[in-house]
Amino acid sequence: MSNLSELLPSGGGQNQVEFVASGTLPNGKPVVLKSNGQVEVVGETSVSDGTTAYGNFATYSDGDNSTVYHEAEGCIVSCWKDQSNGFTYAKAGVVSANSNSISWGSTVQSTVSGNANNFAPTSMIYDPSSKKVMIFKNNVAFGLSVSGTTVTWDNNYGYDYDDTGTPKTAIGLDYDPTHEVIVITFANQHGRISVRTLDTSTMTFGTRVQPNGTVTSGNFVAKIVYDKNTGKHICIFDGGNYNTRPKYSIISITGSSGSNVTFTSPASLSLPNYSGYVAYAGLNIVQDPVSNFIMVMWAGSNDYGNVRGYLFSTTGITSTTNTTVFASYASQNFNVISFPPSGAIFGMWKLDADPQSTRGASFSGMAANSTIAYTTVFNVGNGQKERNHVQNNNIGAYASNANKIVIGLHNYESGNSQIRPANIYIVQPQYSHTNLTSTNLIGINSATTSSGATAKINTWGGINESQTSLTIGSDYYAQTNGTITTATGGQKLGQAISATTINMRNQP
Amino acid sequence: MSNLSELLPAGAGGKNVKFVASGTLPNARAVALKTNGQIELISSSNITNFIGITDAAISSGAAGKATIKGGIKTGLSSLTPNAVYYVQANGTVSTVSTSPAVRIGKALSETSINLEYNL
Repeated sequence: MSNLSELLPSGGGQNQVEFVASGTLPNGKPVVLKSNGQVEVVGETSVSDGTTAYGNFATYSDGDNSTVYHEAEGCIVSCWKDQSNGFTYAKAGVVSANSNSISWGSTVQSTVSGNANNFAPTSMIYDPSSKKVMIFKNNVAFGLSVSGTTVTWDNNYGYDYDDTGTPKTAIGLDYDPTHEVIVITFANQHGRISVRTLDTSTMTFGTRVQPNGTVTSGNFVAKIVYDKNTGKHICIFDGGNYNTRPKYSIISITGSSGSNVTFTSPASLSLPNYSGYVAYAGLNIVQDPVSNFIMVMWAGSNDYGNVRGYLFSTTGITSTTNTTVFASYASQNFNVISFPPSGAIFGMWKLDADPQSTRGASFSGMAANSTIAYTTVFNVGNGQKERNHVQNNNIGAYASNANKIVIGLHNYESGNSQIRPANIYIVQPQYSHTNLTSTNLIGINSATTSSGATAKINTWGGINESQTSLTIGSDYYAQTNGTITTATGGQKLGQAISATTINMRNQP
Repeated sequence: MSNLSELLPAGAGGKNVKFVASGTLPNARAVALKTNGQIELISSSNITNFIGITDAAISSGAAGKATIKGGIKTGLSSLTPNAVYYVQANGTVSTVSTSPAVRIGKALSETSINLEYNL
């Protein structure tokens, strides 16, 4: 190797490179490189709650709409009780949603009918193992294969009865990612939880347990959610009738094939102001994607909507948030959906004063002893009477391809009381997003630059002198909102070597 | 500190930055950054604050240049190309990695070293 000192110009450089500014670039701010070769300042954009688009399938439903996100196909699958043949069949179709529009494929009628006027696709879940959508109508399981915009109904995969021989409704569905099985709660006086595995053509039943085994009246109405914090499933259910407090049990899936179910002894769940409405959709749960709190939404005294978070260990509850009362007269039909981009949840419910409409808001701020923040309550829908039906766990789902929530409702005022369009909506929960990614940070702007003008950027390995009040010797980081601070949550830029100068590290 | 752009000649190359010396600093010695912005010789108590290598001898209280992390320090001698170098607690630079030595970079030639700054 030749002597580098002979090759290098005398003196040092600052890795200062010229780019065209996209938008005004303030002095001393971190910038990202865009795909068109321009640079823009790091920053966040806030988006408010709202309904951005809707459409309806070309058939009519009697409600009971369910929606799930098909991860492999990147689409929403919607199913509903259809008016065809006396409402004894279900129909399903694929919804393709992007950020602001909806299209859908052909709707396909189920190959197996239900009882007269009683095919209610009770609940749906996407099974990542088989890449099928499982639909549970009462105690019978069906499968939906999806390819592109086409759905195909499978024959039913079997059924389950309660201990009296009576078919019972599957009311809670959850996926266990460790054992790749679906965990099902059935409505039953004693409670019943079962697991099933599905390959391309058959479904296997696992053991059944009855957490509520001593109850002889009422119904076991349960919601269940996978707790990624513990790898268990949190099941919350009523205490046997409408007037007892709900209980919780921590469900474990065991065995090499994941066919065994064990559970902790039911314990009362402390819901302040609990008014007794836990049955059907009067309570719902979801896990906050960031804090891991299991968020419970329920009707409190005077039917006020309430939300509270519980952090679970493998044996019980370890901490709670405060209870937040978020809306008046919201007694039923709570649905809560995780919205990962915001690190928060989106809640929907039926308003007692206007029972054929659905309201929604975004909830955030989950932490121990914290009071949950929520956004302004708004009408979910398009100004029409959109009914949020009671039995379904999943009227909505997060569509990662569109970064939105897609829900299925039916229009209460269209047609007669039974025949309503199967409507699909894109709902935008409130959140902030940043243009800063793990790979696009390019440097720090060296002077205020107008949009379209040439900016001189101190890139990786350079020196930026545009700062103020730095702490000498401290490391500085670009934050998602465009500030440069010592908070380690951002991307490291370099080290302060004076109050105004950052020695930028080489390109990571 | 004065405006660095006034101090730096045009062209690319090392990161030669002017600092005020705290104590007398010989040429080509590893130095640490103090919280007041001055630089001082490396010792066992400040080795983790390594900032660069002096470009010339600097009298105590005077201003002089050092090549800092992320730059290429030239004008050294007897380096082994491609060997990893560490600053020692006595301020020398060698291939000895025994604690409390701190890695500073790889030699590019017998006289130059790339002062790493990737983390």
